[in-house]
Amino acid sequence: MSFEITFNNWADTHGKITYGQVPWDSEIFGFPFIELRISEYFQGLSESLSEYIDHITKNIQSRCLVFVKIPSKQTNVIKALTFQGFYPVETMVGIHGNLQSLKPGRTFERLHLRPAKNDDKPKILDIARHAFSLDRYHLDPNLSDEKANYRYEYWLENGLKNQDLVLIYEDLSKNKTLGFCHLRDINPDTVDFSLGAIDPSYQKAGLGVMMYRECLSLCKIREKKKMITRISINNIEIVNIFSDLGFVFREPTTVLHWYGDHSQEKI
Amino acid sequence: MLNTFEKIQALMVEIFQVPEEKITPELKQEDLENWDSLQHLNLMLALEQEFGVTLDVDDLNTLTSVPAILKYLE
Repeated sequence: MSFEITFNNWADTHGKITYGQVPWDSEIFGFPFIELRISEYFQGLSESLSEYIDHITKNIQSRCLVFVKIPSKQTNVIKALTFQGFYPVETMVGIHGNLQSLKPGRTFERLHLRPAKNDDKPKILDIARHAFSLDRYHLDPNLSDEKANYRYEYWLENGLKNQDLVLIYEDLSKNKTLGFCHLRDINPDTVDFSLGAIDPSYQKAGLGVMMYRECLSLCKIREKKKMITRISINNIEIVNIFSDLGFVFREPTTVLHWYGDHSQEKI
Repeated sequence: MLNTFEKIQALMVEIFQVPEEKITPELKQEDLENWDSLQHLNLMLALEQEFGVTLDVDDLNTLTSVPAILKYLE
């Protein structure tokens, strides 16, 4: 499957509105997921959006979800979208960290972060399937929780196939997997903390704080200078962890969905 | 001289930034919004320092209520 999205211009908006189908989400959920991009507010935006929604509505086979990510300060664009039936599902923030200023913290000798091996795959995929619940896929009442869970398992599985750096956090004395971190190198200086989670049965006990800190220390050892990621503001625990680590928050982004359903299928 | 509960209460008031009356002998982690993962770790480190104990990894997962902490320390 392709992991690229091909964006097309919508009508005569001269590239100000573009759209593209997301192959992986479409496959996971079983109906088209389309990303809409709006570069800026412009005169005629509402009419163009209305025409686009009409077009989508007429061409839906069964169900369709359109999502759009807009800088939260672009309130006029967000208003235009909500007027056309888009509903806000999530606010994301970008997190930027200077790894050079990362301070060491408390560790426990039994806890250890290491690259995942093939044998670890079932355990970390199981964590990925159960650890996430605050994202837009879980918050949208039109989407199945089971498929929303599977999305994270799929994400991690592809990370492993692509040989991204996936780290497993374990309790050595009990041979117990506690969590994982999925990292992607953006360039020689910058790493994207793509995904991370602690097993739900170990959450809220401070293990996530230690895992994140150890993971970032490892990135520093790998001579990375910066770390970036994006998270939902709903995940306030992680927001506080990154804040405590001295990271800054940028680019608040409102994510909105539009959902059309011509099927009789119930979630 | 403060008893064990009062010492724990004082630590929690400082770490969780809540009024003293919020910290009761029956308090559990899920009953206090400020008692999140980050503050839990800070609490565990503060308990080590205050009471001169060395906590185990398993303790992090079990000391999630005032009764559990009291039982561990006494």
